[in-house]
Amino acid sequence: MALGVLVPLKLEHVFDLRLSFGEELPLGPTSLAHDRVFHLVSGGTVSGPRLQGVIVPNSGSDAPCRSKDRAVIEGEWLIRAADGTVIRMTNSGYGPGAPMSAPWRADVPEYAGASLHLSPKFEAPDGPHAWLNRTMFVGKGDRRRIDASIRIFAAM
Amino acid sequence: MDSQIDQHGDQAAPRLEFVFQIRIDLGERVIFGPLVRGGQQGFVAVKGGEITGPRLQGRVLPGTGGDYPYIWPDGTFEFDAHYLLEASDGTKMRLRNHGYRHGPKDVIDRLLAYEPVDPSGYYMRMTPSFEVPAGPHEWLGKTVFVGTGNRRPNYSIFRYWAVY
Repeated sequence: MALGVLVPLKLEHVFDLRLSFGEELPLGPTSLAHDRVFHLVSGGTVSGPRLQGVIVPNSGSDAPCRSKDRAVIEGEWLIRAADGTVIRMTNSGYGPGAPMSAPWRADVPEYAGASLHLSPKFEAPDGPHAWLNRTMFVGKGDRRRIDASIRIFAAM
Repeated sequence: MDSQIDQHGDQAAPRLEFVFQIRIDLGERVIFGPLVRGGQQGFVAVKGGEITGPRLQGRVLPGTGGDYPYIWPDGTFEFDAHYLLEASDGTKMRLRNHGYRHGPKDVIDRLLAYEPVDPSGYYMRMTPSFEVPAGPHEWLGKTVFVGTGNRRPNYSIFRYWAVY
């Protein structure tokens, strides 16, 4: 079998996010997604070599869906870059299953943090931030009850 | 083997582990448009294929899907593929693949004509996700992957790395 040209792959650190969470809104049991909780994003910061700015306060939520074996991460919020550009960030990925994910619930007080593996997407207008639209990213995060830190890497 | 960590050497940098590659045998490529929203729609059927590598072996099930790329007005290809895989132990799984390909027009034109192209001359990266039953392959449903692609006239080869 011809393998063709082997393309090298590397990850380039592009920026970091710090998110703060406000109100928690459990969706409750559904026939599809058990134990989803919306954590409203109250604010945060973006810093790093390729993007700087803030998380627009109350612009979205982090909504992990927990099951026994994994937590499926889904979230969306807005970034306001230092130059004023508004950028939509859609986050997805995986976190640990129960019981590690249980502390995401407000009724479980003790929580040391959980490691997340992420595959975020961005929607930016034409201009200096348009590269975000057509680049594949991965992220690693540390999720705590009231905040999270996420490092974003471009797949180059 | 092919893993490379973040050159900044940060402790939190993900580790890449090569897990498997998939050769996908393809039918005729179709593109139509312009679409109402701008851009064009592509399609290519998946006729079969083979999965090889350290973490997964098996085949692509013929006739179970294809790639439905959206071609942006600026020519960027946004891959949107889904089809079924069957591991060598018989486990079936669904693969969805999302990614981007773009580059200088002359490079992309040569690529589309299947002429030899230096892969560093354009960008082609994707992220697959899996629907997989519980059991020995369930790690696929809990892991983030990134991959590269190599486009040939009758097949494509995708190589995937797990992000840890």
